[in-house]
This record gives sequence, C-alpha cells and structure tokens, in this order.
Amino acid sequence: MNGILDQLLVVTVIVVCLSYAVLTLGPRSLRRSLAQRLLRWLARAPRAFRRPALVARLERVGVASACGGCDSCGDAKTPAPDSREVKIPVATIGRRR
Amino acid sequence: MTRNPQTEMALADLPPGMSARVTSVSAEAGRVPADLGRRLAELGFLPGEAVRIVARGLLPRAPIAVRIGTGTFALRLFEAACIRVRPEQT
Amino acid sequence: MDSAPSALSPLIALVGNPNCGKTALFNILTGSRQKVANYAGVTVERKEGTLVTPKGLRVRILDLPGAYSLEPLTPDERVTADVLFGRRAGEGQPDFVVCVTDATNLRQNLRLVLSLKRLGIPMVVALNMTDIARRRGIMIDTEKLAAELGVPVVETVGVRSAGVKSLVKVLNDTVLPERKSAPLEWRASSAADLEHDQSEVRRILKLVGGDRLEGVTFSDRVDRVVLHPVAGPLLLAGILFLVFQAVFAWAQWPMDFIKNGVSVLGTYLNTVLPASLIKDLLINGILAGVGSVLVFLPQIMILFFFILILEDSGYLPRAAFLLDRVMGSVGLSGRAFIPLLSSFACAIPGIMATRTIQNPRDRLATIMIAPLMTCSARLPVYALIIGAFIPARRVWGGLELQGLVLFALYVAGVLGAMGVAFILKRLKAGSHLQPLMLELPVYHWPSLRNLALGLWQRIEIFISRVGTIILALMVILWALSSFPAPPPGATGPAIQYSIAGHLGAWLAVLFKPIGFNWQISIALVPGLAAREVAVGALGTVYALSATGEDVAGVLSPLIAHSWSLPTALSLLAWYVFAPQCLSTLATVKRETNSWRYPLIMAAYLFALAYVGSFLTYRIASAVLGAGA
Repeated sequence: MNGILDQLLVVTVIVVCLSYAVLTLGPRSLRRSLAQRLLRWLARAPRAFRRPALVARLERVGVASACGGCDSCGDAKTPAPDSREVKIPVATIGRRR
Repeated sequence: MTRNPQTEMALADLPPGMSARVTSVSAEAGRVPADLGRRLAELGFLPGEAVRIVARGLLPRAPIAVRIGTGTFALRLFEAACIRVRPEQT
Repeated sequence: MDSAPSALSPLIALVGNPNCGKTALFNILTGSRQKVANYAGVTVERKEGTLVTPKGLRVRILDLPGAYSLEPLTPDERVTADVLFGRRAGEGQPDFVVCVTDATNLRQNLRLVLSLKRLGIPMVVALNMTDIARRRGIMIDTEKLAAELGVPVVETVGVRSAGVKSLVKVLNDTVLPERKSAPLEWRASSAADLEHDQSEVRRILKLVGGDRLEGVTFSDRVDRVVLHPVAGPLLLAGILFLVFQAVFAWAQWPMDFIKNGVSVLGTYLNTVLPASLIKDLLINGILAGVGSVLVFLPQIMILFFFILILEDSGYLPRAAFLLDRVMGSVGLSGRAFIPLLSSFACAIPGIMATRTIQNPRDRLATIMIAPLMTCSARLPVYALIIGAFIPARRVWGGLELQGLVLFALYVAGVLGAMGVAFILKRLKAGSHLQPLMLELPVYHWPSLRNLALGLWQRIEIFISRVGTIILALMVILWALSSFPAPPPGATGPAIQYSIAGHLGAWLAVLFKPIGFNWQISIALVPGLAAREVAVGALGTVYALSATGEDVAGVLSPLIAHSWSLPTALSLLAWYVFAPQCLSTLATVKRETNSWRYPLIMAAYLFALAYVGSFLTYRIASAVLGAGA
C-alpha cells in the first residue's frame, strides 16, 4: 500500500475518533463550544456535508447528558430538584410569579 | 355509626387477614416525619376505608403489607402505628 | 414538511397516580419508547413528545412522574406539581390535562381527579387498564362517571395502540390550537378536604359501579407464597441464584459464535491486507478491542431478560418488602430499594430514581451507595476474568462454579453498600424514622412484546456504544500505544516504547502493591469513561504486546497465561468497589447541585477499592503461596 495514503488514512481515523470522544465525554462547556464551532463550519461547508442528522446531533451536544449507557437519564437541561428541601410552603402553591 | 373505643386498635396490632375499617390517622410528633399523616391520608388511609393486613414478615420490626380499598401498600411498623382501626365482624 | 413543535403548540400533560400507565399511554400517543415497568416511580422526569391530531393540530404531550396528590412531598412529585402550576421557567401551565386513572383502583385514583378538577385546567379522564378491569369483572359506567365528574371520560388500554383511539378523538375535538392561560385559584387541601373527597369518591363509585371490594384476587393468591415469611425470602434467593447461573450457563454458544466470527474476520483481514499501519489499526486496535467487548452481549442480554421480567411482573416492590428489614437496620429508607435495584442496570437511572425518596438525607445516602451495586457495564469485566480463571465445573450438586463466583461478586458489592450505609447512619446527627409506604402493584403477566422491545433496546444501546464511544476510545488507545515507534534495534514489544507504555509503567508503580501489571494499569484509564471499555483496552494492549501472530479477539487465554490468580482476584475486587464511570459522577453532581458529593464519592470508592484489592491480593498470595 502507498505509504503516504496509509498514514493519511490512519491520521484521519484518529482525528475523527478523538473529536468524537471529546464531543461525547468532555466537559459540557468544552463540548458546547466545540459543537458551536463545528456548526459554524458546517454552515459554510458545501451542501453535501450538511447532513441533517449530523446537524441535529451537534445541536444536541451539551444538552443531552454525557452517558451513552442507557436511555433513562433525564436531560441535563432540566435543573435537578433542589436537594435541600422538597416541601413547598402551602401558602405559595399556585401563586404566580 | 357508633364508635366503640374498646375494640379500636392500632393497625400494627390487627391480626393478619382480619378485615377492619380505618377510624383515624394521626402522626404523633417526635421522630415521626412531619408529613407522615398527610401522606398516609393521600395514599387512601382515610376514615371509613376497609383495611386488612395481607402479609407480615418473620422478623420482629419487619414491615407489613396492607390492603387499603383496592390497593396494597407496604408499611413500616411506625407508619402502621399511626393508623387506628376497628375490626369488623364478618 | 411539518414545522418543529414550537412553544406555541398546545401543551397536554399526562397526570395520575404512580403506576397507572401514564408512560405506556405516552409511548403510544407520541411513538416514544420511554421505559415502562410495573412499579411506582419509573418516571421521575418530565418527558416531552408530539402528537398530530386527526385534524392536523400538532400538540406537545408531557409525561409526568406519578403523584398521589398535588402537594408534592418527593422531588419527582415536585416535577409534576411545578409543571401543573406553571412554575417552570419559560413554560406556562399546560393547556389541557389528561388525568390517567387505573380502572381497577378508582377508589384511590379518583381523589386526584377531584383535586385536578379544582385546578381549573380543561381535562379529560382516561380510564386506563380497562381490559384488566373487565377481566376482573369490574364494570364502570363511563357515561355516568363523566356526568358525575363533569368532565369527559374515555376508556383506554395503554398497552395496545388501538386502546387510545377514544382519547385521541377527545383531544382532537376539545384541544384548542391557541394557547391561553386561565388565572389559577388554588387552595392546598387539608385533611378534612381529603376526607370530603373520599366520601365523594365513595358516592360516585356507588353510582357508576366499581365499588365492589374483591375478596381474594389472583395477586392475593400469589402473594400468599411470595410474601410468606419463610417461603418468600427463599423464593427471592432462588430467583437471584437462577439469574446468575443462567448468565453463564445459557451464554456459552452465542458467545462462542461471536468469538469465532471475530476470529474469522481477523484471520481474513490478516491475509488480504498488505502490511501497513491501517492494517495494524484495524486488527490490533479495532478488532481486538471492540471484538473482546462484543463477546459479552449475550450475557448482558440474559441479565436484562431477567431484570425486564422482574420489572414487568410487579415482583420488584415485593422484593423491597421482603428485604426492608435489612435495609432499615442499616438506616436506609425503604424507598431506596428500587433506585438501588435500578443501579444493577446502570447507576445513572438508579441515582435519578432516588427522586422518589422524600427525605433529602436518605436520598443522599442512597445516591452515595448506588455505584456499589454492580452495573451491567461491569459484567464484561467480571465475565472475562471469571471465564479465564475460574474453571467451568459443577460444585455442590450441579451449581456452576462460575455463576457462583459471579453471584459472590454481586453480593460483595451489596455488602459493601450496606457497610457504607451503616457508617453514614452513624455519622448522621440525630436519627429519624425513614418511611417506606411502597405500593405493591397487582401482578401482570410480563408482555412478550414489551420484553422483546426492551431486549431489542438493550441490544441497540450496547451495539451503538460499541460502535461509537468504545470504538473511538480503542482507536485513541491504539494510537497512544503505537507512537512513538520503538527505536531501531529495540527488543521488547513496540508498545513498551509508546506513550501508553510509559504511562502504564508509571501507573504500575501505584498499582504494583495490589498486583496489577502495566497492561492492567493502562486499561484502567479508558475504563473510567465506561466500565466495559477496560475489557476492550486489555484486548488492544495485549494484541499490541503479543509477539507472535495472535489472532485478535481471543483475550481470555492470553490473560489466563500471563496473570497470576491473586492478580485476577485483586482486579475483580477492584471492580467491585472502584469509582464508577465519569458519567455517574456527573449525574451525582447534577442531582446534588454540588461538586462536594461526587468528589467525596470518588475518593471513598477509590480508597475502598485500593484497600479491598490490596487485601485480596495479599491474602490470596499468602494462601496460594502456602498451598503451592
């Protein structure tokens, strides 16, 4: 096999895998900024690269939770219920802000 | 409906399988969580409801399984102690 | 093309008592596949989906955690109340409420209907599970019920797609396209209100039927055995035993099948590809790593087969009832059982499920011990080591030794959790009584469709994990293990001169006292991303350090040769206690709103794992050394 082609192929695979790993597992702020940058690139890229599935996937980055293990996790957008106190004062129930 | 205080007892003391009706639910202060009485009422432990112990554990202080209306709940003994019942003659 | 659901689409909330089938209805209405099981508290989070009504109106449907009342006591109930009262930021009140009720348990369910009616949001009552009610001879006059309640009532069967027709029709006819929020008048109900509601419920039930209290039902007859003081615990032990035996006994041929497939593919690639970097990446990086994880799919499926059956049948809360005495003695809330049991699948939904626990302290204690329950991602690690080191023979009259060891590992995790809970109880200032109040649902035959769907979902999740994140990590690990290339004239395997090789040598100093070699030390690092990655990492690392033309994917004979038994046992002990994947820690951070608890958790689990492995290694070395 052509040596240069061989190395190019391997480097491409490594770069793709590395960005995927960072996008799925990295800290949320980093994931989000990376996804934003990729989206901007995609917007300028030729139409053939702008797969709707890829765009949707990137838009979900930083919103969906980091785990790939199960579908039962809640989305990170939802604030976790306050762990300190669960009760709501009776008088304020139903009051509008 | 006449109340007969003699036959009233805590749910925890009701023999398994015997039908009874709830007479009152009250959570005494102390170590019992404050909302216990309200939660029991929300689950359906309300005066007049039919109640029966379905199962009891072997060990002392094991929880009991209670039929209330058409539902069944597992209660720890301190929870069952908050419920007063009157056995029904069948 | 349909427009995306905007914030202006009408919002319809599914509300009801726990375990009345809201999520089943939600799945059918919106085509979602949210988890459904036969116990209270499966849904602890607001889930959204869309439905297009027959006349073309796009509506948003919300699935909400079950609630016994509109005054929340637990975090999951608060999610429901917040949505209903329009307290969530950027989201008004729902425009319409579908109050889902269990037709077999109206006596309890109708009280919530009465409260919801006072809320003043337009609503419809869905009499769910009417098929079961009818089979049990409960006949409800829906027209009369609608007249008494003053709201439309429809019959639904949440497990069949035809069962929601009537509900869709009502939504089609009554939900208005524009959003408007009515002013809300709400007064929290007092004990007297509850009693008043209940007498109203009794009056209505007398009119519409369904008031009859059944004598001895099918569930009662089953419970006579399942909840029996002696037979019950024995049955529970038997079921758990069967599960772990089956994981090894049934998985053999499908595992061999996958193993052979990977081998054949490896040999084929080896012969057709010319010597090149990309060949090395494909065979030693991807195939060796991914193949060694893929082999464990059958065992994970068997485990989930049992978990799904137990969840669907309604047995789980009974198990909680039987074990509550033990849970109570180490200071755990009775409600902790189901979150802990969910953690056997994955700690993340387990930690989420602690939202059903009312007391924040009890909830925190449960979160802290949840990672000690052996999650399914650890199964490949256990299975690999057990398969390589524990002989497949029968002991004590037909019990598989391998299954027995697996069972022991799960028990070790549980005992560790109990110990930690006991210490936490001691640390707590002032004790209080923890409530149980757990609903024991009516038994259902597990539906084959649900079971098949659930298993299929697990396969999808596992394969997609293997194909995405595990694959990516394997490629990265291969790169780290291959570069820089060894200097000319180097004698050892190339990996020793690479980045990963140096890292491994450095980590091995830390892990040497507990018996880990540098290959294991390297594999532990990507294992932090996901447990089963450690198996793949071992596959890659050993493929790269192998000198001969070893075929990829046959990891277990390799490690059986190169590890001592104390090392293997020590690694097992490590995996019982070691900190979970990073996603678990991230979930703890989110659920507790602080970095404190995930950090404490990581630290204590690491310490526990190190001490556990150290003791295991030393004791095993001493015993085996003396025996030799």
